[in-house]
Amino acid sequence: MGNKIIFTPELLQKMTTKLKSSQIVQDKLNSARLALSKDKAMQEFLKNRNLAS
Amino acid sequence: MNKDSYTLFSPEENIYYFESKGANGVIIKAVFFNEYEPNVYNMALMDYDIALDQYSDMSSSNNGDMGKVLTTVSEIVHDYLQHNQRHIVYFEGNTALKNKLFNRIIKNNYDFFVKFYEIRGKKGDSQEFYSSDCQYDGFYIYKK
Repeated sequence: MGNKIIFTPELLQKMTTKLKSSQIVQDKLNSARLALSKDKAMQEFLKNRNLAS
Repeated sequence: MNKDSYTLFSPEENIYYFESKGANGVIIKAVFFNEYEPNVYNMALMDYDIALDQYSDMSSSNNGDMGKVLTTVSEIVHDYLQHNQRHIVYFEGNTALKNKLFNRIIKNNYDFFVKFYEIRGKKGDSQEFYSSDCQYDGFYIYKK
């Protein structure tokens, strides 16, 4: 860990590519889906909200 | 919010990076909003290790700048929802420490958030409108 990071376009590209393919992100999405699948009231709320838009 | 925060780098509308600077040097933090249901986006907060080209959400950076990080993440949530007004943002901690951090983000900035957003706290398999007296497993935030 240095004292200063230069966010060059190349570094941002590299970080973003890695981020999008990250297993951690997939695990978090799966956890969020699981939470929603157990919450009938929230499912109903989302359904009504999307219908109203 | 009018509190000290870090400069943001946002190469795409759903991705934000910033540098946490403190006792352990500079640590890159990444915040990523990812859709998992129509109009519902999970927010992931992670550290990026340049040397390993690797993300982690398990580390406790202990960088001595927790307040500034919390404010920065709050600003990111606000910025994202201002640009995506139909989206609902969900986030939860994968560890007790991360969960505590997310509870602090909401509690410390509740007076600001409540002006713009509805906040629901997840408890077990359900959720309720946020109460500062409670600890939650996760949060849904969306524009009023």
